Amino acid sequence: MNGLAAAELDARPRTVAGDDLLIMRDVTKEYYGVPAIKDVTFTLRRGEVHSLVGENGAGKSTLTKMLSGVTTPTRGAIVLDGKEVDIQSPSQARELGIVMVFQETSLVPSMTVAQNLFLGDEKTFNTLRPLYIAAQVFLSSLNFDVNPWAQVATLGAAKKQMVEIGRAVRQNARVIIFDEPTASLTPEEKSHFFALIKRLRDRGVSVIFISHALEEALFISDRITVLRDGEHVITDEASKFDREKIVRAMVGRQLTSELYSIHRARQARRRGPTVLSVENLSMGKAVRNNSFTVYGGQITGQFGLIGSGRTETAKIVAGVLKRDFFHGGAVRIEGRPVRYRVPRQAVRDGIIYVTEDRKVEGFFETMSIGENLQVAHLAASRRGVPVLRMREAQQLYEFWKPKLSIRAMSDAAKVIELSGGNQQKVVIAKSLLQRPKVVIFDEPTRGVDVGAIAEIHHLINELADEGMAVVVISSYLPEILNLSDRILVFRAGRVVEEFEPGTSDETVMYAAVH
Amino acid sequence: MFDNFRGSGTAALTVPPMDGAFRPNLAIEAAPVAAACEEPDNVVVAGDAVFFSSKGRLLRLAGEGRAEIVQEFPEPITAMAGAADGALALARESKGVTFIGGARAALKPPAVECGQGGITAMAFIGDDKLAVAVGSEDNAPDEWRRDLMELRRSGSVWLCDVASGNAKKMAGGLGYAYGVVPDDSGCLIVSEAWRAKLTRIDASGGGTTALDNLPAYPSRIVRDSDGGYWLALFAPRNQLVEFVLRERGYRERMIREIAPENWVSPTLAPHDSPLNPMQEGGQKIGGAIKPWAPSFSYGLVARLDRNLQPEYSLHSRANGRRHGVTSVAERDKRLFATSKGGGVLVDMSLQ
Repeated sequence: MNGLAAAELDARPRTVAGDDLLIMRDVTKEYYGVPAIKDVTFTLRRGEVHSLVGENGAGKSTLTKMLSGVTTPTRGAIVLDGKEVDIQSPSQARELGIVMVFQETSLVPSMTVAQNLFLGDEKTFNTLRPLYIAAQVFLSSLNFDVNPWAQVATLGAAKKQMVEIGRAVRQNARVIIFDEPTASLTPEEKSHFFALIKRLRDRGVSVIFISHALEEALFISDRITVLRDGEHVITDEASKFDREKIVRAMVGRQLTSELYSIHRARQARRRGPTVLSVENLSMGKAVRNNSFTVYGGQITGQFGLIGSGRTETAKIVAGVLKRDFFHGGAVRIEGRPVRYRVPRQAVRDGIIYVTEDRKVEGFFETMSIGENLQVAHLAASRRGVPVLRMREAQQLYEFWKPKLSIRAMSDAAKVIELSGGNQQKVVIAKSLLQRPKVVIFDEPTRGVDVGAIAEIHHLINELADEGMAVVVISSYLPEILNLSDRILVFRAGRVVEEFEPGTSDETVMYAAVH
Repeated sequence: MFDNFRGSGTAALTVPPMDGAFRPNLAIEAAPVAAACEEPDNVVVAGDAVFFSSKGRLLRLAGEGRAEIVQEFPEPITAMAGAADGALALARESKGVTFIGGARAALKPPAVECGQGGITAMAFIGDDKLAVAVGSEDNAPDEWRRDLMELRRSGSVWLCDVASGNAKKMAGGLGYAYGVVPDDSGCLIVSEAWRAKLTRIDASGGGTTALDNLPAYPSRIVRDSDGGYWLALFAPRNQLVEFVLRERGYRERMIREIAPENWVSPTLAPHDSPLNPMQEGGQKIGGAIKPWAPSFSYGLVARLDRNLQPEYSLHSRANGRRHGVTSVAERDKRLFATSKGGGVLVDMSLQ
């Protein structure tokens, strides 16, 4: 409770009779006897945008999972429209008009965009043309530039998010919960999204908005609730908050200036030997004749808009994607040309890609932290028969838990039960125990709270200080400007500019856009 | 065979990026002009003076943008080396090495065998030794484009005893030896232009790669005042030229039927001729006109550390004019570079 005035702490959610659509009263959720949420009271008014903010592990996702029927409360009551409801499943929540748009998309990758939009709501065979026409009209009404015929697996994170949002809007929900909806959107897409939220609000839909981007919460919200360590800290009108006040409530100390002090004078690290060289790399329309070099002992920041080819390039380098069969260019690791068919070969050569889509590509969600770490260890080792050994898994867990400040409710906790920030730390630990030469972090702090961001940034800096070649791909410019020793700007599938740290954000953004 | 089929591995048509240490700037393009003349080349420091050549003329920099002619020869000067006592070694096309100034002037010229080619670079090693690079034994120095297109690898490096004139061939089969300099360990560092790399040659003649995968063709290399090196790179590599170098039939026909100045090959100066259609296009990106065609000429000097790793570089970019930097020399924290294609000797402050 440090840093907050007593009056602020006492500011409990206001429940105005007849005005409140939803009330969660003294709700508690326990896992293995450990409370993830403790006696939290939360109210949502009709036609309001209510932001839930807090560090990873603060209980935001748990709170909203109870609303959307993914989990049930251990104690407490949920009151909707004046009636107490017992939400046992997502379908029941949907029937009640509560829809959740998940932080990590929950679309069916093998189906088309239109099929996903109308999933469970098909009037006829869902391959028929009218379905696609309806989907096209609907997506256009949201100003979402997504091809309804496209298979979801082929879409980037931003477009998947758009489909996810579209699906929620289509279901005419009374309460829509957005969990980190803007993390993968470009500035232009974000402005469309905020316009959409306002339209929903005007139609009387209540929106719960979870975001680590505090400026967005301040911009879009009517009210803001801050949670910390599973407890309610403060709820008030958004106009009574500023960024510092929210951060103080979230972490109990002043963090913002530590994190993104982009004007702080910082000495760029000296360039080490060339570790990775990408020459004239091509892959379809995503990567076009792309060339750049990565040096040891430095953080190479890669900035660009969504679709600029950063992730695809990184995936080709790490063997996740194959490049063009003909004239695909060259990738050299310490001067040696390499061409990977599978990531394992790249891992053994010391190239690690820390994925932006951690839930799908980053870990085995139903395994424990130790088991996940041991799987990574097995992938890197040349041991004959890969066998999971519980003792080894436990040793790895005990070594990496304090090193990366991984917080879990128990040693046996599954990774899916961890918060986003702690999941990301598991992905990073998995990568580092493979003793890499070059680590590529793709959106390392996406969906991660400010406290965990500081820890992840510290770790990335430590790796570079130790002489490792580090690449950070981020769509968040202050992060790139603050972390990088050199900044490569991607546009239309290739590197178009290189900047030094200290370059103004307008200059970098201009290069990325024009 | 599989690599050749799909253009991967050693058959990949790729060129290294100009980023990091080779990040483009306008240092050469914006530098003050020390002297302007036709095809300046071979800038060296001898004693306290800065000398350079312009075809057959030996010139000395006299300050305030002036250069005075020291001596004039009928043949082009192809290489020069300066000694601390002010003496000069000078190689002329088909005439071998001569010494100018100091006690060495009366000495017998070193017996370096050049074949049909010529000497392209020299460096004094102490008072009594001279390292000599022969670019090619098949083509004269001004026929360097033909040498590249014929895929010749007949360059050599010689170590000469100044007093006796004896010359010992240290290494042969080099891909156009265009620069030579001694390192701290007594080995010779040779820039092999066609292999885009620097090779370290030890006393026994064995060669190891010191720096490879350069984004441009290296030429003369000299030591700097801090123990590192300055490397001039005279033309950029590009994918089109790399492709042409793999296409034997195309090259042979091009050599046979087209004038060398219009070949698809590196050049020392931007193409101005309308007969070269590759240079006639352009596109506007970010408010700047960028050439549509790959640049065949460029101005580039790289600073290397003691371990021959690039630290930073100085550029005249594709839209500039001071291209074809063939030599570089440092004196009193000032760097002189000859832009043979741009017709200027530039003077850059290193403070």
